[in-house]
Formats: sequence, C-alpha cells, structure tokens
Amino acid sequence: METFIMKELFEGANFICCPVNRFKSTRITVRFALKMNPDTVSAFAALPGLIRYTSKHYPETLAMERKLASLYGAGFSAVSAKMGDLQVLSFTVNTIADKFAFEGERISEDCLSFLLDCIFEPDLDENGCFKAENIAREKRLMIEDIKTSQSDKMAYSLNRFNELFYEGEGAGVLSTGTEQQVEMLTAVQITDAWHAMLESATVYVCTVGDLDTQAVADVIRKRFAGINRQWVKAENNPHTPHKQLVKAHETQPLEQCKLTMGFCVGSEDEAALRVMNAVFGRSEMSRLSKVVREKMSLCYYCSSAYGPKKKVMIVYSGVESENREKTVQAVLEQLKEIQNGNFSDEEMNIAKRKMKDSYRSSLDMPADLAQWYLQQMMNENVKTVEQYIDEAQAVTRERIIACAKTITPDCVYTLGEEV
Amino acid sequence: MIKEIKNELLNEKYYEIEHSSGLKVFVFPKAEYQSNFAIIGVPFGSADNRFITAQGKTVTLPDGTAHFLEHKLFESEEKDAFEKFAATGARANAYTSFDRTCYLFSCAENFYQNLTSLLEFVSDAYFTDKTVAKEQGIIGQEIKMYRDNPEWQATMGLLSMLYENSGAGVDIAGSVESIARITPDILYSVYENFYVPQNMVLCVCGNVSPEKVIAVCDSCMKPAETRVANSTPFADPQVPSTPKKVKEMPVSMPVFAFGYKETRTGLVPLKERMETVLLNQILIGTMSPLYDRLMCEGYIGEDFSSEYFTGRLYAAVLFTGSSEHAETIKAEFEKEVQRVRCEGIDPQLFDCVIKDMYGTMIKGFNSVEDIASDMLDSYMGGFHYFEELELFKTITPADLEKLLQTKYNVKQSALSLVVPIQQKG
Repeated sequence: METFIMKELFEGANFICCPVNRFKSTRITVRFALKMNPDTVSAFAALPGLIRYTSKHYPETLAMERKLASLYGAGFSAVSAKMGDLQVLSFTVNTIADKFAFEGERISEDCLSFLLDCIFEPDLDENGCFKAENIAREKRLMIEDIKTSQSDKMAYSLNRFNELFYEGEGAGVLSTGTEQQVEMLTAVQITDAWHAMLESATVYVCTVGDLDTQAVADVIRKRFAGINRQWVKAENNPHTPHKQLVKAHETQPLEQCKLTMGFCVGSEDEAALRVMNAVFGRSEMSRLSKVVREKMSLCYYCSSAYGPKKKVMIVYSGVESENREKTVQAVLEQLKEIQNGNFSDEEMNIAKRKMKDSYRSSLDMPADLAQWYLQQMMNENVKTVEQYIDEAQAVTRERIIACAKTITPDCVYTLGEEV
Repeated sequence: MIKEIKNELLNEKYYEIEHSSGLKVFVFPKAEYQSNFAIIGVPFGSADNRFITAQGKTVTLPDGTAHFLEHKLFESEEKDAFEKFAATGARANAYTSFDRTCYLFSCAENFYQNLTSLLEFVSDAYFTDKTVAKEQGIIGQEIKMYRDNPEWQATMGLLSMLYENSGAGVDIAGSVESIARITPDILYSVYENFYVPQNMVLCVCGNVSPEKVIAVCDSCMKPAETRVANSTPFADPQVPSTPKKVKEMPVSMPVFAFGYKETRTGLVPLKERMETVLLNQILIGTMSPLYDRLMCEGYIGEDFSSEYFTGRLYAAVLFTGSSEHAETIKAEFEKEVQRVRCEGIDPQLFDCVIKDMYGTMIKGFNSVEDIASDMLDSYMGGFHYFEELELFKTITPADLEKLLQTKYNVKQSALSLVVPIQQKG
C-alpha cells in the first residue's frame, strides 16, 4: 500500500508528501491554480518562462543553467497548462537523492531553496517589475511556441476544436492566448499576474522521495508568510451543451485529416464513466480501436478521453479525408452499441484489468506519482490508486449502460483536404 | 550460465544469462517495485536494406521492410498480440529504428504469462497475402501521418543527404510505393535469417527473478540451426553530394535539421559516445556561451536540441529546432568549434557538464522501462550496462579536446529546412 502524508499549509494551500525511498531521486512541485481568463491568460502564461530562466540570485540565464548543473543536473521545469477552466502554473525541480552526492552535500535542501528563490524572488527592475529584456525574450519564445503549435496539426486541430466546443468557457481559451495578446503584454500586466499568482491562487505542493516533510512544510509556510494572501477559489464548471450539434471543417493541405468529436456527459457516476471510456476508446482493446480502426480500416488512430471536471468525452482520430464522415458515423454507432448493452463481460473485464495494471504501474515513476497526488488534491477528494482500483472493480455493466446513455454528441471538427 | 553484475554506488545488481537457445538475457530485479518491463530486440532495422544469406544469396529489400515485419510479427494465426497482452491488463508495443527492431510490454501483474506471450510471438511468424495487403493500408496511413510532421520531415531531409544510398537515409516506414512491393516471401526471408535466438537479446526489469525468467525461456526458445545472415547495406559517399534541401509545408515557423556525418565502420566505442555528448553540451548546450548568445539574440528557441545519432551502420551529430536563422546557427556553431579547438575547454564548464551527466545517469535507474531499454541499448552498443557510471570518472578535458580535432567535419555536413508554403503569383 502506497503511503502519503497530507497537510494543509494554510488556507488555499495543500501539501502532499510521498516519502518513498525506492527512487534514486527527489522531486518537488509547487503548483498554482487560477481561473482561466481570456484577458489575463497571456500574462500568467509568461510567468513560467520568466521564472525559469532568471532570478534575483541568478540574473544571467547562463549562471542559472550552471547552478542547475552543479545540483547534479537538476531538472527545473516551469509550465503553464490549461486544465479544464483553470490555468495551472507548475514549477518542479528534480535531482538525485542526497546519498549520491560526491561530497555528502544536502542537494534536496539546496533544490528546495533554489526553487522557492526563483518563484518568490524573480529578477525585477528598480520599479519592482519584470525586466524589459527578459520580457522581450519571453514574448519571442511564446510567439515561436504559438507558431510551432500551429505547424503541429494535432495540436492545432485540438486548439481549434476547443475554441468551438468550449465557446465562452475557460476551457475554450488558448492556453497562452493569441500572438497579438502576447505582443501587447506590458511589464506591469505580467508583474500584476505574478502578485496575483502568489496572493490569490490555490497552491498545491507535492514532494516525492527521501525528504524531511516537516522541514519542507516549514520552509514553504515561511516563504508565504510575507505574502498578503487573499485566496480566490478557482473551480471548473461542467461544459454547457450547444443548442444543436456544431459541425465545422477547416481546409488545409494535409496528407491525413484530423477528426475531433466532443460529447456531453450527464452522469455523475465517475467510476462507471472511467470504465465505460475504457471499453469505448481508451485502449487498443476498445471498440474504437478494434472496430473503427482495425475491422473497418477507417483510420490510423482513434481513441477517446473522459474529462470528469468538464463532464465531457472527446474522440480523436486521424483519417483519410474521404473517410471522415464514415468515421463519424462509425464512432456514433459504437457509442450506441454500448448504450444498448451490446458489449461483452469480457470487454468490461479487460477494461478493468487494464485500468488496474496501469494505475499500479504509475506508482513506480516519480513524475507519475507526483502527478497522481497533485491531481487528487485538485479533485479535493484525495484517493489512493488502490481506492480507484476498487471503485472500478465494483462497476457493473448496468452502471456502464446507464452512464453511456447520458452521453450525447455536441461538436465535430475536422481539419484537412476538401473532399 | 548466469553471471551477477553488481554496482555498489547504486546498491543494485543485474544478471547476464547465456540461455541454452543462444538467446542473450539480462534480468534486473527491482523487488520494491510493482511494475515490470520486458523488451526483446533484434539487430535488424530499416537501414538494413540488403543482406547476404549464409548460403551466399544476396537479398535486396523494399524500403520499410523491417518496420512492416514488426507490424506483422505481433500477430499469430489465432490472435493479434495486443489483444493477448491486453487481456491480462498489460500494455504491449513494438518499434523499429534504423538499426534494430524491438518488441516490449509492461505490466504490474501476470508478468510471466506475458513474457511467455512475448517470446511465443517473436518465435513464430505468420504472413499471408491477405494479412500483408491489410497491413499495407494501415502502414500507408502511418506514413501519411509522418508526412504531415515538419520535425520528422526536416530530420529525414537531412538523413537523406547524409546517407544517400543506405537505408539510414530513408523513412523507417518506407513509402506507400515501396511497401506495396512487400510480400509474405520477403518477410519470411528476413524473419528466417535474422530472427533467431542467437541474434536476439531479452532485457527484463521489475519485481522478477532470473530463475523464473530462465524457466520461461526454456519453454519458449529453442536453438535454431540457421546461421544469421550478413547485413550489407548499400554504401554512401563520404561527402554528401547535396549539402542543402528545402521543403515547403503548411508550417508557421521554419524547422531545421543540420548534421555532421562521421566516416567509420562498426560501433562507436562507449567512451567516444559519452565524449561526443559532452562536447555537444560544451559547444552548444544550455550551459554554453554560444547557446546563451544565440538565445539572447533571438536565433534559437527552446526546442533546439542535439543528438549523437549512432548505430551499427551510421554515426552523425544532429542538431534540430525551429528558427528563421538556421544557416546562421550552423555557421556560428562551426565558428565555435574552431574557437574551442584553438582555445581549449573552459574547466568550469567541463565540471558542470560532468556533474550534469552523472545526475542524468543516476536518475536513469528510477524506471523499469529505462533500465531494461538501456540494458538492451548497452548490449547492442557493445558495452556493459554499468560501464558508463565507471567510465565517466575517467574522462578529462584533454580527452575532449583531442576528440574535438576530428569531430564536426564541415565537408561532411548538410542542412535541411522545412519552410512555409510560398504564395504563388
């Protein structure tokens, strides 16, 4: 049984520690969650890059990179991501466990201090704002990133789908905003975003490895003691269905057409929905893979994902342009089959076994373990892997049918050649 | 025969086994883990486009044959492999690279049952005209998906210049036209000449015991009488005849790949592999003055990366990224090589990259997948798994300076660009 320790650091801030010693490394993540807002998304999205490459103590990127190398090649990642209607900023440092240091250094303590220094003491100018030259560089990198994601047709089609499907919702906002928004960002806007992150975001901290839990909690509390916290709880809202099915096609000269379908989910039976998704499209044994991909040879890939926070299910597929309408019909047909109970006990049992195996395996990677507990904290109902497994095992075919019946198509987006 | 190999620093050990069938087996127990990973590999990849059988017959293969075989092998007369693994909860996969083909699975439960399935699938081939024809459609889709990927297209553009004739310059999956020429007979000829136990290696990591792994091998792997064929790919010219290629695609940002081919036969020794990675870091890694300058001046982005592309049949240093200034980046890199050749390596920077490499190596012992895959890579690369940890301590700045004199030969370089589609008229 996996053990973890959970503490409330202060209002709006939770900490989970996984004190496992089977790994050769330690890992510390500090995460901030805020409501996704189209007006401020770019300012918040600029923060990870600004915090990642310079700080008050390391105003030159080169010096910061060499500091990380001196911490035995410590990995430092700073990312802005969209999770449903939330904008989530995560800062993670991972390095080798202290026992592997050449001269007995306390690397994990140094890493924690380094990480908190970067978050709380960025490289600001005499007016207390992020420096112009650093902002200029970050804007360039963000714009290049936006352009790259336009070239990556899977990413591009998903962004366009999100805009259509989640129109008017936080989840529909581009995760770094538009090129124009980034271009227009000012030092004051970005600095305000940094203050808002520290003062009002929900904070999640997770550590994995052989670390002194109490000491970590004390150090983090101390850093926040100087912040005027005014916590604003940010929450996801279920997707609002469109009045009628939204269908859109965008023409681009592609070899393979990208098809994305969005469904609304009405059921609250989360365990049943997870199993239903596994039967429907989560694995190579699912209906979408076995029937739509293999038996009907309609596409190279076809899979589904269940989004519990937004109460949605999304289907992703890569198809020949002339097959796209046939594929849409085939996906809907398979959903209907499950709604009508036309699936075997064996399919259900395989889905459960695969879920169980995959949950258990996730315990053996520091990043996956941290991700599990960060997600659990965000769910506000922390469960262990074993609890998830037990819940899935208890799901019956009746529950799968019942939850499948609440799933309705809401949006179909295709990108590719004109037929 | 079982040999135990220990490492005191890590407090870990693995077992090296010569199985009676000829199969080489490595087992790395991780008793405190729940997950398990197994991978079996054959040193036959997409670059192996021609071979001579033990009977002296020369066989030339359509591009994409190794990859096609990989797709078809995970299928028996009754069932496909993914189905069989998935029924136990396991996740199976397979991949083909330029110099090898590997089949793998991971699971938390039913490990030995899955290991039996893995060995049974690679020990038996089943190809018919019907199943080959069906796969041509599926792989055709896969090829099309990669044709839309600008990074892959830039890299393949580069490799096609560095390796004009050998298979290392051709897309691993081949083309729609080349795979149309693949028949069951061609697949059987590769299978029978290369997929024999004495030419394969199995690597396992997880909550497993070497004795039980051997017992599974005993029941599935029998010695083969076939002698392994000799891979003899077509030779490439030393100097690429085309130094630059440009391809238009629907991209918003140009993507580039440039590289420096090395002329050599056989595997690159481990020390040189490690030294080349260190040199890449010193010259244009994130801790280098050149990277810092190119980043500050807006020439490179966060996706810039380097790779020592090395295998049985090829060795080249590759750089990839997206930028509108690829030619400047290449020129500046070559100037930096000259500067460091003259001025020598900054000792402080050397210490940084060594510590960085050590940390990366230690972290590689966290995951059962990384451990088993790295054991396979070590074996195919001709070195022992723990050897890297020992060897890195012996590398000096003088070693790197000596190697630098012969690396990054500009005459053997090429540049590949993927640029936005130009509006006509």
